[in-house]
Amino acid sequence: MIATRLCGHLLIMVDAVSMSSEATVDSLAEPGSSSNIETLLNTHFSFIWRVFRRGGLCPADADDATQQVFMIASTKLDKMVKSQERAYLYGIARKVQGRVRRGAQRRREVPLEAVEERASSSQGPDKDLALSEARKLLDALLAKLPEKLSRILVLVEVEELEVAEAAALERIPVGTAASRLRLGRERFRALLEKHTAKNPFGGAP
Amino acid sequence: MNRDPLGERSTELFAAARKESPSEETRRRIASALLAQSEPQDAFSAWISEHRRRISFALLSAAAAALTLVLLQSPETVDISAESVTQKNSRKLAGTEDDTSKPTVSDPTSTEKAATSPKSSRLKEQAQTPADAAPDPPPQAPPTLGQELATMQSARSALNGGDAAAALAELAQFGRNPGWRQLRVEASLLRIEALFELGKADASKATEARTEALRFVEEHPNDPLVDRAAKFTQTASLSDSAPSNDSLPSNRPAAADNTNKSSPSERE
Repeated sequence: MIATRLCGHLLIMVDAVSMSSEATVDSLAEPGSSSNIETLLNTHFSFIWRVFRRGGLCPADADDATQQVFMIASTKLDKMVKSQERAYLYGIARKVQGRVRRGAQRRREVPLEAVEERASSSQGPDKDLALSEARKLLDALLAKLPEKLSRILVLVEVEELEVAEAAALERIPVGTAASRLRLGRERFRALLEKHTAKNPFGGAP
Repeated sequence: MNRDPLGERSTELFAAARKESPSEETRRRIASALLAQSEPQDAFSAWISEHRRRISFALLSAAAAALTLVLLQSPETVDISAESVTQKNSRKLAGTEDDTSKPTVSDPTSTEKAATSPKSSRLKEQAQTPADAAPDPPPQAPPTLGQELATMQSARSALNGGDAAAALAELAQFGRNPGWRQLRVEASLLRIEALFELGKADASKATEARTEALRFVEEHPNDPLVDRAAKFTQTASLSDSAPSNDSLPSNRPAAADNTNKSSPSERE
């Protein structure tokens, strides 16, 4: 009994150490930044949340993962370079996303469709439904792409970043980012074409 | 101008994704969590968060050390408990035997001699403590072979030095503690020798030596030391002017055979 509890505590502590070390690895350490966590949250909250959503997390998991990202970032503000805050947060988000995905696979939870869509009702129910269906289709197609292609596609097409910015976030050369973007677009188009041929009246697969 | 329905559809999909945004409630929740995390950041908390890795390492080390201690102590605990059970059982059995047949430190001569050395004083203290007075005495670890051998050597040297009573006091360990069992047979024979030496001046000790020797021959008929024990029965018999071979038990032919095969002088 004691040994089991001891092992449990050890695992928790090791997890805490790994969390902090991962965050440290992510950091673009240049001390002296005067970033404020509230400013960070207001500026990058939606971007990080959408990255999680397009990465395949349900809204509830995306909420939790976003909170984790900013909680980690709040402890590393002094190591954050002001002009590279988004890259720093994106780096944390990629690691958190992997962890949340593994946790969701272990839980084997099926997200509720009703909870998943929290669309604003300002555009009317028909428009909301169309947007919801479009996002489901997009997520389904992105899930069929290799992850590195879907990530660069999301950054450029959804977040409307320049290729160089996307390359900086992914920490890859611009040429590699451009190549992945081209390949991702081609494959996405092929998948969409295939889906449209199967479902001429639209709808998620 | 050519129309690209797939391109338009892709644009629609990406635009739909762009329009998705988290709820304001989520943002407020995260903001309040961040605020709660930063509020109790006094000096101690700041120190904790700054040295988190070192503290975690220290805790891990302490936990590993504690686990090692637990693992190291657990088999010893089992041995001690087993020994205490053995001691309790043997104490019940020895309650009748020790009083009648095993004269130990209760011998007044031996206790006087035992008081001369520190080890003997310890033995005396243990001998004076009644077995039933303390219901749960602290369990003693069984002695090592080296300890028993050292006790035997000190008893032998005392006997060679002419102090048979001190030798008896040393050998009383074997009769009192059930854990002292590795050299118990040899200690019995040495005790007979010591009693024999005392018996030169005291007839009762001579009788006791003979009785012990007879018991030894009975209990250990196939032991290599039985010849030497048999010699003491004969010698004691001679000293008592009694026939030597008649004193041996008739139902122990093996002992008698051993005695005939090798004389005590040969073994000596």
